[in-house]
Amino acid sequence: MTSSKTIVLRSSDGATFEVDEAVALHSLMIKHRIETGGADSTTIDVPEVTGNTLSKVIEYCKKHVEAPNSDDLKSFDTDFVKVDQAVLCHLAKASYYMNIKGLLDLSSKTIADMFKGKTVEQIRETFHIKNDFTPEEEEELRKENSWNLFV
Amino acid sequence: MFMKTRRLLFDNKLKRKLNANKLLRIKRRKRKTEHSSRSGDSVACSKKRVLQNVDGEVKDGQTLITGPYKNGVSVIRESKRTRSCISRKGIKGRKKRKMETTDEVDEIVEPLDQISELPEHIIHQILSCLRCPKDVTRITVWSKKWRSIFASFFSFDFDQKKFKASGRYNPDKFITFVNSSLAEKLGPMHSIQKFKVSLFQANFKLIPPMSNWINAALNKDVKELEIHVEENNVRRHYLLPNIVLTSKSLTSLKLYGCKFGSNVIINLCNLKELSIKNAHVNTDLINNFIQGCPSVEDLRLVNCKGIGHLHISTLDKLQRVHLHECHGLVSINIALTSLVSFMYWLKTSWLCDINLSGCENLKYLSIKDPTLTDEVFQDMLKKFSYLEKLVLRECTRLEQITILSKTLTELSIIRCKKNIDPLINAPNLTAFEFSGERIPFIPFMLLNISNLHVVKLHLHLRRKESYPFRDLERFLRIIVKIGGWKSIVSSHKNITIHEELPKFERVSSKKLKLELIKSPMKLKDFVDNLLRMSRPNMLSLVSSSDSELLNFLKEKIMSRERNPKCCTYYSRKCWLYHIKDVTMVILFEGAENGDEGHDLQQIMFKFNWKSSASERLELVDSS
Repeated sequence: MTSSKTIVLRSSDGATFEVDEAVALHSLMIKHRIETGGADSTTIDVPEVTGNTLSKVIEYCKKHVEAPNSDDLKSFDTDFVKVDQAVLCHLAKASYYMNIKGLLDLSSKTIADMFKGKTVEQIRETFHIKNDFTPEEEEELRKENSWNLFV
Repeated sequence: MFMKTRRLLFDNKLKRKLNANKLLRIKRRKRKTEHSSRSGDSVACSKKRVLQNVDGEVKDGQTLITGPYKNGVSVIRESKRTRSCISRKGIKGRKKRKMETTDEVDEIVEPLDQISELPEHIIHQILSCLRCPKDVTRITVWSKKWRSIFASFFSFDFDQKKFKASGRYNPDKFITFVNSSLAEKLGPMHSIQKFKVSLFQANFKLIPPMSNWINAALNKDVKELEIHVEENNVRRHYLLPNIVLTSKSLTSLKLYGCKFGSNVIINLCNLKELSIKNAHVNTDLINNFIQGCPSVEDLRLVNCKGIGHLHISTLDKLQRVHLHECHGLVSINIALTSLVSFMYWLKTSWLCDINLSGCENLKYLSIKDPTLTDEVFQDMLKKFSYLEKLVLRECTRLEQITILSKTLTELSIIRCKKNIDPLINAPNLTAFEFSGERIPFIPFMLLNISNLHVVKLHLHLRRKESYPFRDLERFLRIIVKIGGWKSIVSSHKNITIHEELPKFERVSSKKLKLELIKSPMKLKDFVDNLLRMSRPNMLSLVSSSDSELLNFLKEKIMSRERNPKCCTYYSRKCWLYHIKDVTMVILFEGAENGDEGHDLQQIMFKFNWKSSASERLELVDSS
């Protein structure tokens, strides 16, 4: 068993996670921080990400670093994003901030898939988007785009 | 006395809360929202920790937010338990009632709209995953914010051919249509994402307005510009206005059928993607492009005549170079450590000297070149020690090649010479594809196949050829030594899937397509693809009765709806839609491998597909 270096990641709410260096380097942001941080870079703050999201991100990185080309990676990914839309948004933000392309692509695609084929009302309900158009504006929109929007 | 002051203090606090909460929307919603259903508890826990940093009051196990919240953290609703705590704390009578009513006021049940708060880059990425334009344009109605997001992502696509197909046409009508659309929509936007115009006819009437349109797009800081002119006569190609070549906003430029002025100054500092197709160029012009686009990552030259010598050594961000059918290309000299993918496709024999010696980080190499010799190929291969994917297509001069690579994961040899004899030692190879007239002799071919996951074999035999049964059996014997394979055999219009590889039945058609897969998920994808592309008459599946694929197919096929939900809004329907009727026949075979005790059964689906004529009838009927 090789003793690899471990890195401690600290989330916005103070939760700390100890991970192998290889796993942490999956995030290009952390990689950059380590490379430019100097010798004393064993604890890295990730203030844009909460503890919960960070633990999920670490789970993703671990799986992808351990077995990068395995077949069950695809089924892992599919199960990984079977979460709430709020959690998905958090994951997308975290992966964007931490520069993890794979996770960003995965979460964006999943969110995009949630848009497909839904009516406007369904989307508003799923994502809790507030309809801030006045009734007159909505009437105008209907006339403008009647061919596709309010199906 | 003491109680009175407490009461007063409480009332003041409540008043302040009420004032603060006037700004927040308060609505009674049902208890369990999607937000709190699954991950609610765990999310709530983390958020509780955060909330303590935010302006809030902690009241004996319950936290209320009164001020503005940070990072889109939403408010935790009071649980029933804590509310009873309050009542237990001894607030009596009037105060109790007041507390409860203000609790209703305070209770901000509204889950937060996370998605609108995402950074713009992520939203653009999500929107670019949406293929159907209806899905994209629908977002303009969600809310005002999304309307403006859409505006910044908006793309214009004017296609003269489609316009002509939609009614009585003349060039003036098309011009007026584009002019009015632009005038109407372009005004309120401060920037647009993409502008594409396709002409099938380079009518001289269309030229001046084209320049106006392109100018208008450039004024709005367009990021992706695509000009498509279907014109084979070079003299009638569209002369690109010079202003396009000095735009600061362009990140992607695709030109088809355009010509360039002489001695143009090119300064496209933000350009990432450059694609020039069907154009007459010269070496100087290409060099100008190379010098003028320092950040380009993707360069594609297709059917460009007159390139001459292509020499690239300064573009340190360049990752992909695709050169297709560029006659007149005499030599290619690329020395870039950033190059990841190189594609070189030629239709007819044209001798070109390719030198990629400086590109040691190349991962993906695809060559279609009938002049490529063994020596040149071996020479090239030596330089790429990190090559992951290699595709050799119609390289009919290759005879005996050796491929030794630790990093190679995908290899495809497609329609090369009949007697090609490849020696392959790639321990990490996961996908192998071979297409040709003869099955190469295996024992020497794949020396190390322990990681192989996908094998595709595509045979096209000539008329007088006899079927290479022995070769096929030999091939399969070696591959099947390592178990776990599932096979898809397609010939004519019949597909047979075996989930556990058995002895092979002899197939007698001249065209055989055999796919061996290990992963059940990939199997599903492959079958889906096959059904979509080849529309077989018969699909038979030999598997155990609890097979995932079987259940998946049964569910999808037998309980399909007339208008499948997945593609209701799309004009291109999925294969389910095109099925006229299906009959399912179950044949029980019993255990094939006696000692294993598996009960295998064979199920056949016989398809009857809708012809396009009957489809049109159906559409008429339904409307």
